[in-house]
Amino acid sequence: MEVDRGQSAVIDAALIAPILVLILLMGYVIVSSNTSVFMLEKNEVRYTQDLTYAVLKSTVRYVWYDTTSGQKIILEDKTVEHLISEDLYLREHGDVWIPSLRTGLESKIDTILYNLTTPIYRYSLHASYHNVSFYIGAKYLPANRMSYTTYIDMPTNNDKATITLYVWRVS
Amino acid sequence: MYKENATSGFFEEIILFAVVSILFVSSITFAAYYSAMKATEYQKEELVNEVYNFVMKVMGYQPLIHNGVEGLFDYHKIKSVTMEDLKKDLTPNFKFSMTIEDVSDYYHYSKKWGNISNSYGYYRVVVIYPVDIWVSDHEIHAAKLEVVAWR
Repeated sequence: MEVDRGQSAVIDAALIAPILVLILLMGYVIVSSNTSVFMLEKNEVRYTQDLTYAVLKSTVRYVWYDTTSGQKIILEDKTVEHLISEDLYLREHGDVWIPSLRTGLESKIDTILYNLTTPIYRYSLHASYHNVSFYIGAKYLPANRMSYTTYIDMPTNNDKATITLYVWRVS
Repeated sequence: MYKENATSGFFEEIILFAVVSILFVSSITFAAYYSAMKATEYQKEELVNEVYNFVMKVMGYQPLIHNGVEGLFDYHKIKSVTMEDLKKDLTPNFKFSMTIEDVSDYYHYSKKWGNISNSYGYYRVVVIYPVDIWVSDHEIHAAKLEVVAWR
């Protein structure tokens, strides 16, 4: 008698388990199907390139920074491309108060990048020239990401600075 | 002893029948739902692809862009292009609304074509793309091109 009851419980468990699995599977499928599609993966490389050019071309109404001698420099209606090259130049020559570059100049570029980037992506812009560099956006890069590199003119010579924009999907 | 077992066995079979029936109906329902959802997902992906191609056409649409530069929309031209122009010249195979949203730190020159409140489609996709609005050679506004499409 006890042996029979034991067998019945095993059969019940064997029947209930697939039902539970099925319910969990249905729940997963329903939740995952609600995700909106904005961009197909095959188009993301072009997207990164176009985002780079859109941000570099755009102008910023007003930026500022402080020199090491305490003078406040104001720049108006300059392209992001120009501002990045000036930032690198100033960092290389050392006559600028670096925190003011972050607050008055790079944060404005960050705002533009943030506003331009489609909400399903995150970004990080890296700019470098000789032994100086800075980044705007996320500090750490995920392994799965897209990138686009371009070269811009430096203000005083024919040298080029390197700009790389990293973009990755977050949802 | 045998009678008890027989009675118990009978009820257990009813429960077993109910459980198997529920399992069977659930499986059929799920399979039907899943295949319908997959079909919708495929159609949705196809629409995203079409909308993306449409966005690429808009990026190079001469009546909108400045000096032939892709993705650089001329503020003065934006004002004059109508929804009918877009439909006639770019021939989209879906219903849509389109917005060029100025996201710069200047005065905003956004423009919208169509109305998404008229969207009663079975499914809807959104493609958002980074662009610029040319106001003058010294003033180029960062902007987003947003196309909402449905069927």
